Amino acid sequence: MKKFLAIVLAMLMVLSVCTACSKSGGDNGEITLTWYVPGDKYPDTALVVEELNKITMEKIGCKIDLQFIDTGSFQERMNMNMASNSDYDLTFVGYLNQFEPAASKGGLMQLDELLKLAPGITETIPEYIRNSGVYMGKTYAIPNMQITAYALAATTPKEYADAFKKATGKDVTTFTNSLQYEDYMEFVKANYPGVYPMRTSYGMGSFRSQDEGWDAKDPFFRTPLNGGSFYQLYKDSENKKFKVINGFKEEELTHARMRADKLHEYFKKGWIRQDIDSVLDEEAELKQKKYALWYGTYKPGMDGEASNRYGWETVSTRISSVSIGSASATMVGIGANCKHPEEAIKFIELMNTDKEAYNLVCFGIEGKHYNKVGDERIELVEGSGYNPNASWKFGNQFNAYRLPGQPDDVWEQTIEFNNLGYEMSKVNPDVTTLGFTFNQEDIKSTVTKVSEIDNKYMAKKHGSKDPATYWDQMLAEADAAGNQIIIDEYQKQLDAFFEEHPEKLAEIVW
Amino acid sequence: MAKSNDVAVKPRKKGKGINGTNTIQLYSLAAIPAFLVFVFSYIPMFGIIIAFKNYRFDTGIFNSPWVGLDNLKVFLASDDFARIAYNTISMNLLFMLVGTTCAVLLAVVLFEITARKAVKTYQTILITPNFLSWVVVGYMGYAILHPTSGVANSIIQMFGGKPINWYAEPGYWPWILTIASEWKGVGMSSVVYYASLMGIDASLFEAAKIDGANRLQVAWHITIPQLVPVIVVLSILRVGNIFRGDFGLFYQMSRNVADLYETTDVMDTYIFRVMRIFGDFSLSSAAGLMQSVVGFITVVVTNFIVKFIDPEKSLF
Amino acid sequence: MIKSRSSIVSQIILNTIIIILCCIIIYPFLLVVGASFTEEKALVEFGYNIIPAKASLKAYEYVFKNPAAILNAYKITFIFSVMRMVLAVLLQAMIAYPLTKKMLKGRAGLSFYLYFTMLFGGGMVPSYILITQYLHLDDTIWVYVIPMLVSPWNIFMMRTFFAGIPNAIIESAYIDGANEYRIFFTMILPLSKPILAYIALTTFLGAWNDWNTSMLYINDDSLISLQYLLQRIMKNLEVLQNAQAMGVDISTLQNASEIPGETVRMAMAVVVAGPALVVFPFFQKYFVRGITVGSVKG
Repeated sequence: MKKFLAIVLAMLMVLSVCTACSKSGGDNGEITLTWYVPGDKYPDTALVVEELNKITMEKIGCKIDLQFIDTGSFQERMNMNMASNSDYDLTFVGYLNQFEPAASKGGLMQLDELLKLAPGITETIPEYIRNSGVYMGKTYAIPNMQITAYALAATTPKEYADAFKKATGKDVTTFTNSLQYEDYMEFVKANYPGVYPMRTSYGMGSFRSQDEGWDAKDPFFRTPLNGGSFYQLYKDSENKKFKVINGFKEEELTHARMRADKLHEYFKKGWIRQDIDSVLDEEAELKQKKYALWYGTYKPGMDGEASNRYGWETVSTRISSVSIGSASATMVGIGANCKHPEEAIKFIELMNTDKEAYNLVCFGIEGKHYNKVGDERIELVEGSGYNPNASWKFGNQFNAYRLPGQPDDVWEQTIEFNNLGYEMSKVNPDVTTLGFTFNQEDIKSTVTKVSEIDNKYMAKKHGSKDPATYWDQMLAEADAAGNQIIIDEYQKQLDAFFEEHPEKLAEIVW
Repeated sequence: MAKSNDVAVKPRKKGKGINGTNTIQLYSLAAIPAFLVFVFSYIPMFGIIIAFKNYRFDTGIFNSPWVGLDNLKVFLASDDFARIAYNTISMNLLFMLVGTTCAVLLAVVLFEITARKAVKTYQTILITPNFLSWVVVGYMGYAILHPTSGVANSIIQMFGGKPINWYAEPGYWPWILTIASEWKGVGMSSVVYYASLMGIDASLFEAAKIDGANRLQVAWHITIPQLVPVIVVLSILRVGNIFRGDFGLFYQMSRNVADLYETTDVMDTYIFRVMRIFGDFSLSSAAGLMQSVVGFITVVVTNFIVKFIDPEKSLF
Repeated sequence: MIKSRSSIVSQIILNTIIIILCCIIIYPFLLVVGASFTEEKALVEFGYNIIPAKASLKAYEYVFKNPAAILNAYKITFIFSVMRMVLAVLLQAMIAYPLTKKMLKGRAGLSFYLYFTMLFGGGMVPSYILITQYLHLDDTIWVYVIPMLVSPWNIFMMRTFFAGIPNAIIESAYIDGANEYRIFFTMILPLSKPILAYIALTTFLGAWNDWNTSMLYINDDSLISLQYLLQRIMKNLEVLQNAQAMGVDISTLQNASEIPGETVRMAMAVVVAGPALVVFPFFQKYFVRGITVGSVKG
């Protein structure tokens, strides 16, 4: 027993020493910026960071500590980091570590003054894209340049599309409307047992039409708010005004019910997998060509990327008009308690302007993690020790090397597409890219309530339930939760915004 | 041990209390653990004030603005509260009722089996699931309940039934969760009852047999009544936790599927979700405080009842 | 003992009932094992089954492609579980013993001091601040051990057991001149083996199944726990689903390598849970004895 006690005491002593010294190292005047990025950890991260530090020491006089945090825990970890006033320097902000709560609760540093130190950022990123990182008129995050214009694409495996063309003479590439795919899905159902004719991860958003004009009427189907489905923006051309509406109620404007009914109809026909509500990942089956049709964001060169990924060819067709989109899903922010904001903003600038540093972080070290096969074209080394394979996490994607499957001019095409979206924004504006933020602070509890309802009915919008059984109840619950309060508040703030910025209203083509 | 001839010679040492206890030494034993409790339980308690603040990251816990009872009001006024409170309490009652019944029945059946070696083997098997984490049990549940490739639907279809979309039908979940909870825990909880049955005076059974009672009669009139005190005490102890849900069970089994919240959302999962998805520390803190207060009241009340029934078992 | 015919029949019935129950208990285990040895395609096509429709070792090949990660998680989990077990038992006993002394001043207060923490907590944020910014336990193995050493519930169980040790033994030790430390270490602890073993095992089990600590406090992959290795897969999937619900185009987000198929997940579950299931039943008698003395004074 005495021995036992001695061991325990020894352990406690070791512990007290350990905790006292563990975190005190590295304080020799050198600046090191901690940078949190979601993703798997790679064995060679240290090597890559070492190379990166050579560049950053030379160009901005500091070192970077690149920390990958598991994707699944990123939101929690950053919540805790912010909540505990941790003095980390840089973090990914976007679909994980969400912008709105982080900015509104003071988790991110305000960047407007700092941006003057980094002209490279304002020069490379157009204002309308930077507006994605603006909350209440102040900048809190810098978007990573990538595709921002938005259009819906319908993708089919080439094999099925070709067979469909042979059998019926119809070419899916000429389609401009989601409903035109019905014949195709029927064809797949009849000829390819075991293949799901339609994947519904986009839910009701899958229904778009270029020619019938549904999507022109509801350009803001995707609003970037929690519980956003209950309030949408409608461009009232007659009165030259934006109206906030409950998209589920204003059927003639949004066709929301029609879309929901359609999905359920497809579900009943067996075009949508019957277990849709509990499917967590479709990727494994997608790879095995188990889906004949799916919707996604249109991207130049998307078929090349897909075939590279799945090992078979796809045919993608743009079926909606182009609109301006938001870049808010992938941004970089500086922590509110960052001790070296000047270096941090310069590092963001570096990731947006310096091809060498950026590609190093994206793809690792040449010859070790990738091989150059062209001027700006690379092939990744299989099974290498560094493979984030997601250049949108780090900076300006338009500086990234081309991967197999991407055309040489993929970024030129993307920029062109973005510009098209920007042009279209005169017709189909998105208020967030104009710099408007909906301040929910005063109606927070109502927003929480409504978004819980949205959450509750989300699964049902994938088609498994008959809208007749829940639609009215959903609307009633949302109304009871105070949906109208949100709509009124939104409208009030929006009107005030345009009153303050009449020039923005003037630019719009009604 | 004690050498009896020394007894009379040894004078009582200074600092010793009555019966030889040494207060200072006793306090010193308790010091380190009490200190750890202070550090890891009491120091963080200042965080309770978050429940009364509009918590902002930049101003931190102390400088965030006070909002009084607003967070609590928001929580109590929400539709969620009624649902969550109902789920938490009703599921706990269900677990208690079904759990106790199953555990007692199992213990009685095991007790009736005369081959003790076999009983040991059975117990080993029955206890095994207790060693699994809910993460793993969640995986097992998925293999059974998967809508197209799961075993449950295969069996239903074998008998000509229509497959059920388990992860979309909240109505089944109180029972699924009860079964999961029983599957994992019944072996372990029957152990208590089994052990107390083993402690029953054998002559009671002999007497009953002589009187000509059959097995069922013995079980009903002698075995089960012997268990009643244990059942009562254990149940009362569980009532103290009636406003807490086993997070692992509810979160991992239901795979956090939103469509099931109607029946699977309990206090603990709600607190977690509000913090994680909405990043709303104030609201989740208020809900947590609410849970503590209710827990406190139930515990004080049950402790009072326990004290009344069996003072030895009371906690304080 | 002469067995009557009817008692033999009833024995058969009772044994059958229990055997069926045991099968129900075992079935999900076999199902997961079966699925882990099934070919991914066959799983989608024929569904889950104990006997693979098409056997394959692919899932295990994938899991063990990088065995170092799993072996390391095993090692770390074992080390911190043992540390937590040893320290927790000792420290909790150290405070439980004084609580048995009826004449000790402040005994009721100390009980309440412990009990209060079972009900009220400050929530995650202050604990996180304390652990990461003041104690700097994050990314060390100690974060698995130190914050979770003292549980009032265990202390009260120990107290009940200690109180049951015949007073005469302790009295005679006092008379013999033994001090409290000696009594505690040489008498109380040895005489309380059943409850100590029980608490040791449940503590070990709790540590073994801990995933939350890794998620919050560990960023160094060489320190993550076994259960987190498993939970991580689920969490990555969940994030994708949430992103999808938010209207983010997940095809641009997901990194195919992060999401293994269903058979791999099942194989992971087997690898993570399997060995523990083989080892723990050996300690069954301690569990049984402990739970008995702990909750019913026997």
